[in-house]
Amino acid sequence: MTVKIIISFLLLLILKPVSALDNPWEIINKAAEASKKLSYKGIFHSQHSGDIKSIEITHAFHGSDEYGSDEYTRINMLDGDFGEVLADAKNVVVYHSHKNDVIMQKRKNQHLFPAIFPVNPQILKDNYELSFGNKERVAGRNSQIVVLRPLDKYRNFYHFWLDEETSIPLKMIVSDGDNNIFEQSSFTNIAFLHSSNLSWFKPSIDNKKQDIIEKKSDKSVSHNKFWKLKNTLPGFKEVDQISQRIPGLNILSHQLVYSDGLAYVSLFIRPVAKDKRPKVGEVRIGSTNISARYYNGYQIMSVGSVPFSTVKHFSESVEF
Amino acid sequence: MNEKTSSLFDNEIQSNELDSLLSKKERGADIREAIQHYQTISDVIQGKQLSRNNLSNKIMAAIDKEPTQLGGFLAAKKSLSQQSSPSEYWPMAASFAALFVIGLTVFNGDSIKVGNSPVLAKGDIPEDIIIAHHSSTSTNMKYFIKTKD
Repeated sequence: MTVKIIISFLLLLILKPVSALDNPWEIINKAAEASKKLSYKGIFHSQHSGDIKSIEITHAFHGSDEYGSDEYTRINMLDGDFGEVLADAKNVVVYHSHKNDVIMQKRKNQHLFPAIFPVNPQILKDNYELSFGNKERVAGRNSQIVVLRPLDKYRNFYHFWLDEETSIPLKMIVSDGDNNIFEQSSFTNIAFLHSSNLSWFKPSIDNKKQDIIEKKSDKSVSHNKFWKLKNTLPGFKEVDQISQRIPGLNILSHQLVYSDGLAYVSLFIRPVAKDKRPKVGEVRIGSTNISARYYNGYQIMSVGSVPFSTVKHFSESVEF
Repeated sequence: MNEKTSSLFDNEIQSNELDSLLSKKERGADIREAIQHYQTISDVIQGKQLSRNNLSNKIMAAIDKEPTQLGGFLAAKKSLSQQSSPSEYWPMAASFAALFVIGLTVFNGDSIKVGNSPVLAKGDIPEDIIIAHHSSTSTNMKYFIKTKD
């Protein structure tokens, strides 16, 4: 009898809802902070649409300096074509090979693994439910599994293996409700750095053998927003807008980027040329869903690694 | 295309397909001719008078108001209201009705029905759309590095 009571008590402890714990979301805050404020170097495998690449990342946190930059990151693709990213707090430069040359492009900063959490992780609370899973070893370190389950049909599931000691994400899986995996990244090894030496923060390009070509962008932000979304999905906010002039025409093509903090959707609004037939319908390319609609002479397309219902909602919400 | 036009006049087409159909008017002369033929056939089969179908007028009005892709279309158009007499269409209607029935027999009738979300092929999506999306939003470094503007 006593044993039964003890077992029942233990079961109650185990099944205790996460919401009843003291601020369970604190673990996400810690993970977000760890990926930014720790200095580390490691290799992780990144899988997307059945393709796996090995990637080396070196990240250093130096606090604020006179330039205002406090984070330095270098990312190298170890498989396939040459590819490298150098980023500080303000600038992101991507280098990739093109024949015998190297193309250099400036990009906007993005939430790349392991720093995939938004600046304010609290915004996830309204649209995801947090639960704790088992403890597992990843890259030789103990980790705690944390799952963010969507509260509606417009988002995917996010599974994180957070380092028990530092909370940095060691592994991430994005899946749907049927456990179909769309994307995963997982460290195979990681070491934490204690040196402030930044000599590694430079492109690994041989200037004598390769020419570096800077590809400048003609993208801008349009102030003439002639469109509006009649209803947006909960939690999704516009985080970027890119306008680009269509070559040969005095017409702009627009890309709006929406995010709920983890998922991203691009909404394209483009005029249809006379000799082009607009597309209407839906298609899936890898893990990316696309919904196309024709409206008032414009091709509306929404694109994202989100459920079909999400991209369809966005494409059908545009009006002008 | 002809199947969709036919289903349009049989009230089987969905609203989103209507957009698609209207957008294909760059082949304006062909489509207008097809629309007129199917309108006639539909009316004959359903026993309606030719001039009483508001849907066709709405479609023609929508085509005429369309702001893009008008190249080569306006010159070829004829308004339905300019048709002289319904009785002139009976011989033509009978011919097309016969062809229509044969067509239905030869082709799979299910193909006329259009779902709410027609499926596109991968090739229908411009590559630059996918590239632009990944270069702006990807959390996956493979795409982040590979994509080119």
